[in-house]
Amino acid sequence: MQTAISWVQGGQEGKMAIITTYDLCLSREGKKAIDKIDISIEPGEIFGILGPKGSGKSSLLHVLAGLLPPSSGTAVVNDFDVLTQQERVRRSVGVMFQEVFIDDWLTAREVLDLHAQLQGLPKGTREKRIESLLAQLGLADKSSVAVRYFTPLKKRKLALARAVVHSPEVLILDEPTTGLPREQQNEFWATLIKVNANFKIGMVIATSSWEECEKLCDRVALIDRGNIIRQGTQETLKDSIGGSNVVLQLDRHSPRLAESIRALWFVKDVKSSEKTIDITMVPNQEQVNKITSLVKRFPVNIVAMTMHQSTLNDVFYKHTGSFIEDAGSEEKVRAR
Amino acid sequence: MINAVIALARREARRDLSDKGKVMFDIAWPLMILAVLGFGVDAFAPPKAGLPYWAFLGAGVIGLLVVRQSYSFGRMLEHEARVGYREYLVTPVQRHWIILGSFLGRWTVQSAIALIVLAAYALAYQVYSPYEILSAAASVIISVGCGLSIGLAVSVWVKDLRDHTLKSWLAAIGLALISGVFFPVSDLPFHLEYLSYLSPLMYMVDGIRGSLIGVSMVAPVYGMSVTAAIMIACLSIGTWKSDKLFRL
Repeated sequence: MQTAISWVQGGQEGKMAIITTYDLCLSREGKKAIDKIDISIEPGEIFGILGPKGSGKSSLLHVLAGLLPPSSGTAVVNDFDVLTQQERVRRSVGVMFQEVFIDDWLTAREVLDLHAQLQGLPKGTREKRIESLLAQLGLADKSSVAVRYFTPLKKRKLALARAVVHSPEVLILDEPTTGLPREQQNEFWATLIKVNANFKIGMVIATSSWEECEKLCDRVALIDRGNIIRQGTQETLKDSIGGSNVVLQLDRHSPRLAESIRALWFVKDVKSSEKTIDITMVPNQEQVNKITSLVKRFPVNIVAMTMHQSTLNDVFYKHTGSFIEDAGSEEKVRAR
Repeated sequence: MINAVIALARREARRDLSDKGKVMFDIAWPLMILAVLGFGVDAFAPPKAGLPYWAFLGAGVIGLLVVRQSYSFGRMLEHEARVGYREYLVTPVQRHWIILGSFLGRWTVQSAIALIVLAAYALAYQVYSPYEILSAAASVIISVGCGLSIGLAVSVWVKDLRDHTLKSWLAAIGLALISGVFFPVSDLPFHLEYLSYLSPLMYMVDGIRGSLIGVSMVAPVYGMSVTAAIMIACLSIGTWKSDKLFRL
């Protein structure tokens, strides 16, 4: 009998990590698809792997899903080694691929039942689980309809239901909303958040959409050419490039005002020149109000105020010199 | 694992049956060839192997159906290995069981289609003996299995079968010409007659013809045995090497 690996600890609070990799490498056709990947994902967390197409995201997911054996290094998923316990890994994860393929000659219920059977669920459990999933994902009214009549969004939801039909502890998603129109992307993101909360399921999302990462992910790893270049919470990553900034255009020069602003606890840096004050901070309404109140105490007036909030795309640019090409999304990343 | 294989076989059967137009076409075209070519040539051609031409052609038409099923299965596997099967690879079911499940599902439906054609052929020839009908049915089922397993083995070994459509059909026509589909093997030039003994299709067609109407080059049991042996060999190779089929 195979034994579970129980020595892996991850995360800050000593929680047992659901996924841990150490020096994980994968070579394909003589090239390194991923190189020395070290990540640790905690239970219930939504972890994003953000990078351009061809950066190694999908290869990493294939290894974590037990589909491809790593060339070297270790990956432990739900206490099972991906190299020696692939079957157990596959039993404990759910996977939703970028290109959703569903047997469209079957009904939604039949699709879920087939996958539940392949996962070895007994009949009684299967039926209850399928009913519950169909209801929670808003597919109950379509349960007896052939999948070929589903909209793209409904198909994604069904693919999501299929991926979690066996109650996995980790859900692996590869570009989950690629190709969906904007409003349907929003709806699917909301569905993912609901699934994460209701099922207490950890998620690993590989995406080339920084917006998707910002909407969904608790922590993010930036990947480029098979290497993780930075990882952490969104705030940490944005702070690492100096955070966001607020630029005040004043009607006159006021060095004292600039010094007073610099003294505010949430301000990271201030650059003052002539009638402009450039404030590095994480802008939120409350803090911006504090700045405008402060300005009123000085004999100056604000002519204009502009805010720029750093994005994960900016972070990626800072570390790689190029923006992420968001080819899968309707909104192309701005080229700046 | 048996439950998983059965579930996958049922899935494949459902897929085959979902396209009712294709099912109808697969039943209709062999019968049309038999009616048009068989009875058409019968009007002016001398009997073949002591049989009216349409009666001789009946087994050959089932052989052609098997060739089409074989090619179609190979193409389907190749397509599925790129997209559809990937969804099953993320389950604990191993690759060779996925392939076996698909094979069994398709074997069931395609055998049923071939048996309908056989039934029409038997009725036209007025074969009512249960032994001959059962024997011919067994021969058809084994032939369909053999054809599908060859399709599986070819799809495992040949990269991008769709790029070889012309070659595939030329090979199929060549096989048909030397396998006693349209005329007896004994009518072939001497050296081609020997070549025909290397053709799996010859054993399939000969087995069906021998079982149903008693005219064959080799004993029907021998033909069926060779067909079954080829089926087992190709199925074993196809499932054993199924990793080559999947491209992640």
